Amino acid sequence: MTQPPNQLPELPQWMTEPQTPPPQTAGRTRLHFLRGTMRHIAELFENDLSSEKYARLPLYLQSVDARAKTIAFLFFIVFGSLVNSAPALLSLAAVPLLYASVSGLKLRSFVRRVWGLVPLLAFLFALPGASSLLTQGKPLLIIIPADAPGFSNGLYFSAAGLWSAARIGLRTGISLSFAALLLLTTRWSSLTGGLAAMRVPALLISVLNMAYRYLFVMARTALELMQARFLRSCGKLGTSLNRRFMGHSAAFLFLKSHYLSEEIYSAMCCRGYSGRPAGFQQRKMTANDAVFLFAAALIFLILLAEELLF
Amino acid sequence: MHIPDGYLGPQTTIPAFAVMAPVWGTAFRRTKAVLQKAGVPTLALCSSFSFLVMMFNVPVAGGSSAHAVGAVLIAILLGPWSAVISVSTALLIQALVFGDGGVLAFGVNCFNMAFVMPFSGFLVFKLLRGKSETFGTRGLAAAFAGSYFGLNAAALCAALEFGIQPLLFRGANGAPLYCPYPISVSVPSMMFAHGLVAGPIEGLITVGAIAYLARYAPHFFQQRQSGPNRSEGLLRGYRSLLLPVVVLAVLTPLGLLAAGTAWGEWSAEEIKEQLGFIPQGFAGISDWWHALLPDYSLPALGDGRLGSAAGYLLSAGVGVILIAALILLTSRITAKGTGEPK
Amino acid sequence: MSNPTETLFELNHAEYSYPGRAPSLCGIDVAFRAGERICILGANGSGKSTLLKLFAGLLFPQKGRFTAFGAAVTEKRMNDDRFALSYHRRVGFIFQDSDVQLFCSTVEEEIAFGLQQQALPPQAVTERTRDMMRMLGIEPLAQRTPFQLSGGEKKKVALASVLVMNPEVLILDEPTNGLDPRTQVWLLRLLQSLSGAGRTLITSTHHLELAARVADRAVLLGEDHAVAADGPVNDLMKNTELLKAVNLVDDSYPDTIDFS
Repeated sequence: MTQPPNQLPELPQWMTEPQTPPPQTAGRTRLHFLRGTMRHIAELFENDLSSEKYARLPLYLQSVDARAKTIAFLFFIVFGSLVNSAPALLSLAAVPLLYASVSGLKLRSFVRRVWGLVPLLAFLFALPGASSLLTQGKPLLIIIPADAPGFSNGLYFSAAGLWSAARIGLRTGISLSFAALLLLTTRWSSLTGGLAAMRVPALLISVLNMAYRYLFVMARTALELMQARFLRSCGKLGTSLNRRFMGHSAAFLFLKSHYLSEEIYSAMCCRGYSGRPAGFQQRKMTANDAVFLFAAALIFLILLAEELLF
Repeated sequence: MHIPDGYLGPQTTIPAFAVMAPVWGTAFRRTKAVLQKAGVPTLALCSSFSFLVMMFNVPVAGGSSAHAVGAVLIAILLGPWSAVISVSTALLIQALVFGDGGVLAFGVNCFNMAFVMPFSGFLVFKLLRGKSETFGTRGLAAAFAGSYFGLNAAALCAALEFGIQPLLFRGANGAPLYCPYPISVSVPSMMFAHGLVAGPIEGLITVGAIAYLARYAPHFFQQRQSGPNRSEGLLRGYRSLLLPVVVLAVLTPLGLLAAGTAWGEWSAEEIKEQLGFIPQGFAGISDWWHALLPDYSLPALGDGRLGSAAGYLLSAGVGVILIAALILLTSRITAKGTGEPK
Repeated sequence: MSNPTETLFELNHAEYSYPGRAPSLCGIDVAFRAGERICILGANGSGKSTLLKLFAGLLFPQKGRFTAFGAAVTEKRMNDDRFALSYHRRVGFIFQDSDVQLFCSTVEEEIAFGLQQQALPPQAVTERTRDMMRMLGIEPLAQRTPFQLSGGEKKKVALASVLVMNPEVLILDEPTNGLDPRTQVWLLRLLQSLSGAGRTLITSTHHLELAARVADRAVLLGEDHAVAADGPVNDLMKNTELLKAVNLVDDSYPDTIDFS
């Protein structure tokens, strides 16, 4: 006991004096990496909340069995990666939007979430390759005329080139839309139950479920680490110092995950864990699911017709 | 590094699942043997850890930042087989929840980041570390080199996967169907970015984390030193890797053969060639459709490119309307069947 | 149910230390009878949690003996799945951090987990799970994921997941930590009715007011990680000198802290 009992701690002189403003540092603080990481983690929580919110609605896709949805959507994604004609790809891109709108998802935020970033980037990354540098054809959009000094052949986009870049973006977006649709209209536990139906071993699904569950516990810790760092950072810190912080955060999280896994294992043992994976409630397939699968098959036929006719 | 769907053809993404299946199987068997009943929580928490590390933005220089993968770090801490499981699980959650990395490309992404990266990185780490301690200077240098190498090996794989696409898949008009960049473009650009920026970052994160653990949780390494990988010879432990390598070797030429006719490019005539006949009903629809939209373009919309583009859009529109009607109808049926909301 | 006079747990000269660290428990000698209400008191770091984990069969004394239900409990015997299953069925453990205890995807699966491990028929599992949720008033939470629950709801689910196995002994590690006053009262009532039904309750806490309400008998651990006192809880509360000696309270006890 270093402190005599019943006596309030005495504050040092500087703590009782009025605050002096912190020294102004030149330039802005470089904390983008923290903001970026925090935003990313916050998205994780947001995602879970919105999928819980939508999965509870008593609408079309929500009432369809996870297995039926998984199989149908996987089929559409594979189909999307195989077809090349414009009508088929454009129609296929519209399918998730139609499903989303009858399932109570907010169409604007769904479109922003799915098409807002990744497909756009995929398209832009593919653009240089779609130009006449790699894909020749009949010029449609001329950037540099053929007789410009220094460019013997000029630089242009052919219709086929542009379409090949657009196709990459469309395919990316189609795959993303179906994945998002599945996630937003299905509870996580039924989603992994769908994987079980696809013969993924039950122990692996237990790992997946538990990883997802504790992701949030760990993410909260990570978020608090970043927030604490963010709040105490005033002024410019060296990049290497910030990098070291991220390395240390990784180590801290690793220790936390290690501690948690040991405690969870104890808790499992206390409830008689014998290596048997937790059971998954398997709902029986209903008429709803059959209707859904039948409709999906018809949609597939329409798309196939579009693909083969054009 | 997370490859989205769209860049790779299914003839690349589906064999990747075939290659990963035995890897996953072996990884799961081996980690289960080592961890026994504690396997589920240990692997699960390690996966959540892996997921979070992949979320970290690491400052590079100025205001820019890059992402770490952390696969080699996990391989060093828990062994490469655990890394296979935990990074794969993390990638699966990322693909489902964030759309980071495609659904079909999941196998390819796992091959690069959950298989090539931890194993190549761990091998380099072990060779360079020799018999010295993991958290000594030499151990840390080996960890840096391992992470750097592992990430670049993964990037090289990704670059090759991109690069073979234009060789394999081209449409009738010569335009690439998937990634347009040949190996001569994809390899230098990927390796430049990863060798110069992402590789060193990956190494620094690994070293930072190991140095921190050595200082604040040394007991962790004392336990781990007698871990699963010590008693085995360096190569003996990797015997089970031979199978996927063989599978890959067999499947690659198959993929090249399949590329001869990209499936999606078959026209009705080609189907006829392949099957010897056109299904009767199909021919009927074909005639009906063409009568409706002669030559892809409506005369009213003019000839040539504009007309054909408009014809495309119009037929897409017809398709979408049909599909919309279908979805609306079935949604009504289903909603009625569900009855009262719970 | 066990005979009320039977000795349930007995520790003889038990010692335990975590690898690479100073001992957590030194020379512990205690014996508990069936149906007793016991609380383990001690300052932070005195070894309360370690002691509870010995009782729960998660740790084993490195020196000395631990006997439960008339048989020695050793690591070797606990490695036998049949022995472990029957032991864990009889002894329930509520962790301080509810998060580590709620490892399934939904509340319903969580409560069913222990029953499924016993390989009960699915119908019995569903039935008992539902009864338990009704008893604790958590039916609306059935399909929720544990992450989205509040601290109080998590504790209730953790209790449900253990009580559903109908254990004879319930061990609670700092059960009221982080609960609001209303949930604390709810928990105390639940413990009272469990005790009335003949269950043995072992609670660890450093919250002295709680001790007198959840236990008749107190075991006080000193900072030397040994038993400093063992007797009726009310006697211990009055022994200010002893409580001070083990650094559980300071001079202001039993008054509340005076900031004037």
